Amino acid sequence: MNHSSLTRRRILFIAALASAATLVLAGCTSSKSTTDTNLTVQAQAAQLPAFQYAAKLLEKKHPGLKVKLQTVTEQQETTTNTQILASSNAPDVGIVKNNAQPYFDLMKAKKLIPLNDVWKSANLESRYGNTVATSLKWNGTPYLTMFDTTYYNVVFYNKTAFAKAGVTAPADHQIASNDDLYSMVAKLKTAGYDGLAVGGNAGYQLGWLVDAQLQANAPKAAFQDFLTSWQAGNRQKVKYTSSAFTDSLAQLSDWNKHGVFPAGFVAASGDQAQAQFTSGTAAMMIGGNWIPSVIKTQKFDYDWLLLPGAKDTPTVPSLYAGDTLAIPTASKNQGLAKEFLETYQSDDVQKYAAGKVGSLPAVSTVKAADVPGLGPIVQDIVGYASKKVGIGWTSTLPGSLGQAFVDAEAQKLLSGQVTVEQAGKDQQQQFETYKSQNG
Amino acid sequence: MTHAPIELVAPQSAAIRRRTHPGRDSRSVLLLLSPAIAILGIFFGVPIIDLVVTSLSSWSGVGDRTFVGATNYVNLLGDSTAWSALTRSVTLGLGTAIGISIIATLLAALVSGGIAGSNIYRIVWFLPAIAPPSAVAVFWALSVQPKSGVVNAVLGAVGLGDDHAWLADPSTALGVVIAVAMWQGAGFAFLIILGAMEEVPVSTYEAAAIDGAGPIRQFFSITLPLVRPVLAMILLLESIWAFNGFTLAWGMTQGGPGDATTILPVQVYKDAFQSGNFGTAAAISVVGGVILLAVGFVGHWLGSRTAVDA
Repeated sequence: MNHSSLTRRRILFIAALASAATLVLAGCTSSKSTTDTNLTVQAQAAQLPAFQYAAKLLEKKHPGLKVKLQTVTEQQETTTNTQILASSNAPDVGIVKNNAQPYFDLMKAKKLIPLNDVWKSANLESRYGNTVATSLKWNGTPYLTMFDTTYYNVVFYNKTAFAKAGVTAPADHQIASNDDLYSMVAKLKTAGYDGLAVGGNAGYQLGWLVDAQLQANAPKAAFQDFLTSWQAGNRQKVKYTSSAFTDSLAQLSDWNKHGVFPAGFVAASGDQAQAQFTSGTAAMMIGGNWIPSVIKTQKFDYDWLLLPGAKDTPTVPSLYAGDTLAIPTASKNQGLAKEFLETYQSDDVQKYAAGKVGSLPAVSTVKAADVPGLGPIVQDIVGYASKKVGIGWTSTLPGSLGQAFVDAEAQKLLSGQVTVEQAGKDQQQQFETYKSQNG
Repeated sequence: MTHAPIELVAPQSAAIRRRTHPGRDSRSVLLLLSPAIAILGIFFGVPIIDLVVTSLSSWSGVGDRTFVGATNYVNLLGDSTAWSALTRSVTLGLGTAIGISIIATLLAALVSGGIAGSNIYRIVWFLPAIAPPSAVAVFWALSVQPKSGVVNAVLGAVGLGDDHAWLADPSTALGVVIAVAMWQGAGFAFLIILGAMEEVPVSTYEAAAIDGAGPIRQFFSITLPLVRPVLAMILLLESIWAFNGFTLAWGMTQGGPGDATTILPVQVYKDAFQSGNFGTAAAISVVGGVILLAVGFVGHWLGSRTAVDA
């Protein structure tokens, strides 16, 4: 190999390297026109049509604006979305559930912008109502806006299955006692149906059941303590080892012993539980007001009812006011992002969302009764909830203390890994660890 | 007139030139290796250093890290949850690796022994290995569901009952994950071991046959010893992969029921992303990494011993 050949090879190598580097740099360079603006908004897949409607309204108002919708899964919303919204490439509007860990981590790191002006412009203080408005604030300042409200802990039942099994559903939607529930399930099993389908591995459905039981069983003062003692500066007055908490766990355990749930429910996902109901295997399933919009093509008639509490006290639908949007500090279009939030809060979009995707309006200026598209079952649930509704404990606490923790703990309880007392101790230990880290 | 003999001296060989100019050759070697070292440093070294720094901090995943020294490691010592996760990871790692090794060795022995249809089996038995792990997890999670799953349907058809809740029972859930990991991993190991078996000279088997050794004696006395280095490597790799196997465990059970299938990677995920405790998660990761490093050294030492001659 002679010297000139070596030199030629070296020159070719350097030229190739330089070309490759140029291509890489060119690929990294934005080619967007300076007159186009992109607004990136996170959305849940189920609400996409409503978000698309709001996006179109904003794009019409701002020619040249392109609203890009990014769907995120439920799991992403409660876990990795923290890092996405805190990154330098964060979307302009993010889904930040107010009971999920990302909200608390983002607020402590000051990664969300306050929305006082949005709340004032859209009159949200009044349109949300005092209780909900307070729950959406951090130290008195709003950083979130809701895109819908939800009632959960509603049980849907297959009327055909009930008729076949000779089960009479309660006229007032309320199963009067646990004995009544066990009798219903026994008859359903004789007729070849499973009882109450629950996604034990969904990550939240067992937590729902705990919410309904706590609302029904815990003394008022104890329940209030459970809802607020986690907050910085508050002292715990009622421990999770007390019967005020463990009675609710014990009720779930009793249901399990009496065969209320289908075999293997602890490992079933939410979709599997829903499939058990829609396929006619299970006669009942736990859900909420969105279910009719999801199972609208079902061939059987269905209706809804409520489970009993531990001392045969009635449970009520639980309110979830945590489907919320926020603007990261890293957003490059904060002004437009705020306009998107205001647009989504408008009566027009709220009404469209309720009719199109079955979500309940986030604002009181749009009544569910004004949205016939919601259907008679949802209207019935909303009418009931307007008189009797509960606050979900897991809807209020941070995920690491509430939903994510108690759901796994309930799984352990219902699969025989821990006793009721141990579950109470574990919850108390988790609470003390949380308080030691958060004040 | 005589002349002194002309000594013909061969041109200096490259080796001689290297010995006489060692500095230039070392620099060339370093220069040629530097891109690879840079890539390793950037994509491997920096994240490891960052992980160790995080393990010495309290951090929610956003904002600033607060240095807390060895607090996370001290807390780990008394954390029964983490120890249980480690035990499950070891069980998953060993169980999967041993199971895969046995199955793959038997399959390879059958194919290399010339079983009918061996050409088809080479492909069929490898197919699970190319399926995406997340799809495998979803498929098998549905398949073992009571009443509706295909596994229970088959068991019901043969009179063994169709309502076994394999994944809902803490005593069987991890076993199911191990079984699925074995199903998916056996194909790759089978191909590697098959290749090693087919490298064994035929003459060795012929000589053994002449000496009166039957097929089974030949397998245990010739085949296995000669493929031992490959088997050791497979055992090591499969145990490491299974130990770190987040996808199957999370996809099938999300660590449940309760924490019955919460292996170390799942615990890391839960601590980091569900609880916002990145410091604790990083400490667990470092401990797991050190354990695997130790396993790797031991495995390398065992595998580097030469195979026994037949």
